[in-house]
Amino acid sequence: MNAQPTVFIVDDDDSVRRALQRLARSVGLNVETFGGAQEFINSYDSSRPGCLVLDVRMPGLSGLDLQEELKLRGFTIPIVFITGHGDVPMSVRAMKGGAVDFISKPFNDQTLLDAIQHAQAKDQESRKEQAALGDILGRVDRLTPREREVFALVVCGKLNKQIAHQLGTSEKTVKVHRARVMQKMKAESLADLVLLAQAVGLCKPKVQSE
Amino acid sequence: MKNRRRVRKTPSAGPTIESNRGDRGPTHPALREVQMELPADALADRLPEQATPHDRERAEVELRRLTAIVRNVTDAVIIQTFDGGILAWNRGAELMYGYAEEEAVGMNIRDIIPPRVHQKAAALSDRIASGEAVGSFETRRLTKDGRTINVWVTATTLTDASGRPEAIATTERDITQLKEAEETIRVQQSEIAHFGRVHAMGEFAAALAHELNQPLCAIGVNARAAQRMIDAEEPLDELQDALGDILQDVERAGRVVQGIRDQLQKCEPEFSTLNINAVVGGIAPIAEALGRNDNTGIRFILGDGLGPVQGDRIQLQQVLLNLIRNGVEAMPDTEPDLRILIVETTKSNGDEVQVCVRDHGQGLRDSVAERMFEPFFSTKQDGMGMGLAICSSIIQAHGGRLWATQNADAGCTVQFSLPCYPEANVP
Ligand SMILES: Nc1ncnc2c1ncn2[C@@H]1O[C@H](COP(=O)(O)OP(=O)(O)OP(=O)(O)O)[C@@H](O)[C@H]1O
Ligand SMILES: [Mg+2]
Repeated sequence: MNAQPTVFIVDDDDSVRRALQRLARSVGLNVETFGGAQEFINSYDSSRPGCLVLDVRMPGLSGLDLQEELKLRGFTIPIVFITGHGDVPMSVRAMKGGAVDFISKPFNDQTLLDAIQHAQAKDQESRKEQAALGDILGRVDRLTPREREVFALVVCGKLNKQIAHQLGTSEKTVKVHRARVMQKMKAESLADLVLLAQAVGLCKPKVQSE
Repeated sequence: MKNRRRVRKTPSAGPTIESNRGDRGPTHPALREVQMELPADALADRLPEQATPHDRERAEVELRRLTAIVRNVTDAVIIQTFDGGILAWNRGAELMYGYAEEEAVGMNIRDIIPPRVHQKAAALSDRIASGEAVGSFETRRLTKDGRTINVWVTATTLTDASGRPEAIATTERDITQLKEAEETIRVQQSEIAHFGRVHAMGEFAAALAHELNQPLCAIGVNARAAQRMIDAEEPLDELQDALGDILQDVERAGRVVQGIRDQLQKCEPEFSTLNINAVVGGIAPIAEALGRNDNTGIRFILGDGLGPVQGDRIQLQQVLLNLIRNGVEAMPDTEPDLRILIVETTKSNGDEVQVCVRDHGQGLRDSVAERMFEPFFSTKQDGMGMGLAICSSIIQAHGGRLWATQNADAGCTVQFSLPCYPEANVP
């Protein structure tokens, strides 16, 4: 998890691939290269942090095909696309598919390095988010079924009395459950609890505020 | 008839040819000396002694029949001595060269040979005199009104009874118009081919720009990386590698540019001895550009031990590029990992080379297969339909064959074959 991030370079053109690798190495980045999209998919381990530098046009699976494939598999590795000019429709498609950046050939080396850095940062951020989410889900997991019901109602803004009525118990019992939910979820306030609930999709923020 | 035929004894039997001039006015005095008719004993030497009068008559009829044919063919038939003295001159020769028989007989063959060819003609005549069979050849002649014409000449030696070479008989055909027509066709064909290449390069422009961009991009990135390496004082061999890669890419860009230049060049087709694999290799950069542009891989499978072919490199490359483009264009709906075009060279029939372009595309419907080689037949929205028509004419001019077959699995193969000529006996 705290491994050095890697720049995965996928380009069918040997010499462009070698050049990109050389540039990335020259600034001390960790690099791995692949001659084709399929080759990358076959060996990619999504637990490894990093970003993908991808040529849009390649024989066989194109860069766009690879982007789709990764999405289908639920992988969120940030992608920096490299395109030739005249690839506007492709660029639009890639952007819609969630590409982080677009660099068109020929490009300034700093532009590419900046894009890589940006993508790495984004990956790190999303990995942090993922980790946090995992943590929250773990806390939710530890709630009893009854506590979960109370949790859901509390974050919807219901009063203890209303909750007791709805669940057919006493207000006192609800208070006990509520305290345990706060404790297990490590929430300091009702506001905290609502945020945690939103993070795991237990309630919709918009509907809530109305 | 009979009384008009003069019977004349010449010292030797001499070459004989009937001259049926009874209905053609008075004989030119000069001609009387060499008047060639069918002497009464013309056949004497050629018939066995025991020949019956019946044999003799049959032979005479046959001879007459042959001479009549000679008189009437449109080819010129001329008989000359080894010094060039014209002994006989048929109707075809009169029409072709403009001299009446009366004028021609007694002239020297040099009178109808352009001065520039004199020496060659004399040498040839010597070879014939020495008994060498020279067969047929192409040369030029002068007509009475001063035109130079191209003729196809077949020469044979006439011998006397003892087998001694005595005179030369030539059959000469005027091929001037044929040659002009051929030339016109050749020029037109070459112009259409050039037009096709320019058109194709226009179509390829985007792909080619991209293809040039690749090495340029790599060169730029490598140069920047090299600068960073210098700044970071990295080992020199890393720097060497970077510079080596840069040089390679410069060459690569150069090859693309050369390929484009070749195709745009307007030049007369020039036949030379070619290695078909080298011809195919020359268009690899452009072919790969086309492939990359449509996410199609191009695979070259080049056969071993293929004989040399005779041809115009640029036109053959044009054919290949057309077939490759068609193949790539046939595969937009093909699964990405099957989108591969195979270009293969093989030996076929022992003395031919075959070049196949095999795709994995939509294949050929019967209605397309029947008409695909026709000019202006296209099933593509912006196709001109000239690609295969031009390919056909080029391959035909190379003495080869171009055809298409449906593949067993998917797509089709368009291929051409060319005859191989061992260098020694190039036609
Ligand atoms: N490899 C192929 N697979 C399927 N159909 C083909 C193939 N090659 C040629 N054809 C068919 O033959 C037609 C004629 O081809 P041709 O190359 O002469 O013209 P075109 O490609 O349509 O236009 P252009 O003049 O731009 O080449 C095509 O339109 C297509 O229908
Ligand atoms: Mg075509």
